[in-house]
Amino acid sequence: MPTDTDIFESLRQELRRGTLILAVLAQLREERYGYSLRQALSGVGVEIDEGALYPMLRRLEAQGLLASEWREEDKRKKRFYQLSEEGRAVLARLAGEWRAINAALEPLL
Amino acid sequence: MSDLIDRYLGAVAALLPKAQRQDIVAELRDLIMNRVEVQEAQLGRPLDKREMEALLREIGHPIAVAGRYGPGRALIGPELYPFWLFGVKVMLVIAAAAAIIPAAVLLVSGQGSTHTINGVISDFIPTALSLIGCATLIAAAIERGWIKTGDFGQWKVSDLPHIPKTRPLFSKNRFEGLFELVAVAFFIAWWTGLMPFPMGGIAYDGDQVGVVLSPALKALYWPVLGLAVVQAISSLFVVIKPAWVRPRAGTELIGAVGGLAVVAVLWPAQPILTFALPDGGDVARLQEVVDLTFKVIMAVSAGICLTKLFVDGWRLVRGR
Repeated sequence: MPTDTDIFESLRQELRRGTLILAVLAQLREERYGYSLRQALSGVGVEIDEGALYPMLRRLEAQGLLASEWREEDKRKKRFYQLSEEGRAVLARLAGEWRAINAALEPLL
Repeated sequence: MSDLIDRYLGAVAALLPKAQRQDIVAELRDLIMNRVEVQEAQLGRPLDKREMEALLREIGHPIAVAGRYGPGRALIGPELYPFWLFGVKVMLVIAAAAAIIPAAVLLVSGQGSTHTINGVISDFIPTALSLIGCATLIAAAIERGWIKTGDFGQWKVSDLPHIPKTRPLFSKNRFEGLFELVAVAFFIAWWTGLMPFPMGGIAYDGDQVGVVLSPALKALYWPVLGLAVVQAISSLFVVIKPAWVRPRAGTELIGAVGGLAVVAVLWPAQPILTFALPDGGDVARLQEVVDLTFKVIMAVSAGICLTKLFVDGWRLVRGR
């Protein structure tokens, strides 16, 4: 029998799933590598597990929303990600959708 | 310490698709090194073996980490899952019926033993597991598009069964229809000799009893077989097209008329079964019980058939 905490946690995860993609896309308007992206997200209060972040970056790249390249920084090769043109367009549409949902829900809450 | 990292990354790499392996491993190495650097900066010294173990364990088991880079598709997705579950339930009912009915017949006819009951379980479990495995393989293949379902996903509301608030007489749901279909299939198998007749080896007071069928019953071989086939078709309608009320009512009407005709022929031809012991012993009590049983069965069957004539006749007219 799931406890109230379990149910809340499961619903919270469900609610966060889509918003994390939005946050990642928004943070990649400027070029970042995985670790720095996670730090940037954490800096604005969005915590994301690395185990979820890296595969998500690859999926978004496979969908054509991100572009990436390997470069050396601090004597180590790192993979830098940035929004592609298509990614910028999708982010703009998703942001509009997010604002509409937010505007509709806010009076209800 | 780099030995631990290499072992960890090697384990992840072994589970990754070859084309992406190098790329993903390089990125994971960077992630690990970043975390190591941060932790070492906090401690002011290099990590020891235990701390490195803990850090890698925190990143996740190699199987879980490699799995996150997979296609992210469930074996059976949420769209297909309810169909898979329904199919599995139906197959489990069939597997249970296939295991229980023959055993029940053996037990009722006095040929069963404790092995018969054990046999039900030992028959059911492997059959059920095989059926669930087959259903899962098929569903997984459909999920991945390897099996095309064509128009199967197209359905009409008008094909769904009409569900009245009160359950009408002689109405059946899909599971009952399926159970009836399996039972009729077994009856046909016995009637046609594909399976041994359960009364073939009846024992009384420890002696094997000879059973002689009434000539009327022998003469009704084809009509009874025909009625069983009609009943199987009607049950099939319930399972496959429950909304086809009129075709089903039609087959039920044929069955009811046929059933009345069979009773009309058999009633004056009693006894239906005649028992005899090889040594001429007394089986009067057994004969009496069986005769009475057949009388009751025929009277009840005639009553049911008469009622069905009205109920299914009305259903045929109304179409619901």
